[in-house]
Amino acid sequence: MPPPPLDAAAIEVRGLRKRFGPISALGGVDLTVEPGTVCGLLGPNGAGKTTLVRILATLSLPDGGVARVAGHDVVQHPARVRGSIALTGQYASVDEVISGRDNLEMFARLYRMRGPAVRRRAEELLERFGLEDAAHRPVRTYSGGMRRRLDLAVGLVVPPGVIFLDEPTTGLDPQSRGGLWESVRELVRAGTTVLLTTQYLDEADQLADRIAVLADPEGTGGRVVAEGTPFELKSALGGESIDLTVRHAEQLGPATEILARAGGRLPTTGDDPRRVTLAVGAEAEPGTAVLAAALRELDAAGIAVEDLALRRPTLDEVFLNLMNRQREAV
Amino acid sequence: MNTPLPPTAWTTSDEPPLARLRWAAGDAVTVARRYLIHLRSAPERAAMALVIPLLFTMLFVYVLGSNMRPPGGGSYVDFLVPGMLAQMAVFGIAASAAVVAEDKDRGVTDRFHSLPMSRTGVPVGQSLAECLGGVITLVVMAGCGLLVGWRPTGVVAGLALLLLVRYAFSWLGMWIGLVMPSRSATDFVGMLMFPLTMISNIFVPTEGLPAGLRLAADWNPVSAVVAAVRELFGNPVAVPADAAWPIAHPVVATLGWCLLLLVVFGPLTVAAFRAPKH
Repeated sequence: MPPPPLDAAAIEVRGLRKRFGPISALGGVDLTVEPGTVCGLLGPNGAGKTTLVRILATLSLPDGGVARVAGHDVVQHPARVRGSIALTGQYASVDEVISGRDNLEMFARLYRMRGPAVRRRAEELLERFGLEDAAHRPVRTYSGGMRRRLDLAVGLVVPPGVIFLDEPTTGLDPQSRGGLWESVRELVRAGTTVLLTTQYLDEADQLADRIAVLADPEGTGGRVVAEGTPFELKSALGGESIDLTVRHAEQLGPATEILARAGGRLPTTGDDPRRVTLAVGAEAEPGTAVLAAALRELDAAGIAVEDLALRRPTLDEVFLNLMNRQREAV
Repeated sequence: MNTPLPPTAWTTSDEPPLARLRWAAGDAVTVARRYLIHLRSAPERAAMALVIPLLFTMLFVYVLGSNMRPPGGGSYVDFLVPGMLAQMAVFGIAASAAVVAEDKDRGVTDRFHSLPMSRTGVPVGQSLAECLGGVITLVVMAGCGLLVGWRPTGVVAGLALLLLVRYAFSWLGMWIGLVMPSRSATDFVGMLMFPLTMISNIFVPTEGLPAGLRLAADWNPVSAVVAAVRELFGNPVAVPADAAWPIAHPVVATLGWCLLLLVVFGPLTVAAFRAPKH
């Protein structure tokens, strides 16, 4: 059963502020998440990610600004917000002493299910998340992957309009990781909106439609310092580059001249005597066009190319780059 | 997905009061049921509930009681067992403080808070669970007492009063658990149980205590509870002429203490549970 459609944004945050005594945790956060999308919320430790999620989930009150989740104001209508959300990960735990099935049945009852539906719903979720065999075991005996899956399953007892996920795949093996990512995508296809907080940028890269970077560059509280699709952020903040490796070191000179002509700027060389790197960015010609031009000329000049590649930065590089810029700006 | 699901965005705050009360009661039962599942899933906890009364019976009846004579004659076991039952009821403070603080530490409380469930349901359910735990402990303790020669004239009224005491004191425990920063910070409650139960009439009559200590012991709520259940179990101790009011009117005093605890710590606990934290 898909959650009811949302008229407006699933999450809307304007000028949100929060202080803890003398420390400003949030210094005016603005964020909009469209329904049925995944927003990756990134940021260094202490930038206010947890504070923001706790306010959005009605566990904490803001000092200023407005936050609406699923169309409901978190301060004025917290009960309505709670009727539309699910909280997982470090923000909200399951009961470790009792079994996975007992947890699902308990939460199903708290979500107002009654009678045989409780057991049926628990079975459905155990099956969907591959937990049937461990269903009767206490959760404290579960592996990391099983725990994450149960955590997600509990959040989906009644499919929420908005779900807050926290590092859902940290510490998982690649297979469990892929499986969990698929579960999240399935959820989004059914119309759920996801706010994903993570330190692991490839996780955000895999799942997020848009990414917001929360940081506190001036020490005046966290705010969103960059926002966009992963592609936009990489193009704008990371910069692409063309890496060229020639077979014979003596051909590096002419190859460098060709790259400089194609890209309209000077390439850089490093320790490797056969390798040259040209930065291509959004402001210059598109990287692919430069690459094609360079390849034609290298071929015409008879230079033996061992490797030629257009390299996009990883989100990690974007993130580091952004954090460095913030530091320099202060 | 074939199981019919409840509406996703119902809103507890918009419901009529009677419906809210009904759902709150349902939530309380669900939370209390969790305690029973705990006993099943962690038998070592259940074992503790059995071992402590056994251990205490051994320690106090055979070690302490080997050379004790109660005032006005009679058996020391009849003097002691009602007191130890009261002690078990009062230990509920430490138990409920620990349970509530542990849930808070582990993020279970936050999970409850993020659900569209009744916020009063959680502490009420927790207190009902404490009552269930109390029934087990009290019945085992009473059983141990009967084995070592305790002879009450009736047990129902006494046990019922002790259950009320356990219930009322659990609200104080829950409040402590909620306002303490962590589970380990509630350890002091366990330590407080010693003066609370030793400076009372559980093990010795208070008449022999130094004046200041006797005043504290006579006005200790635990002493009123002990005097009340001695009366109800049919093991009464002669009341000295200069007895403090709670000792002279122990059942009324006990009911008063329970009412006071519930009236003060009921709302405080519910408020502490509802309040959004940092």
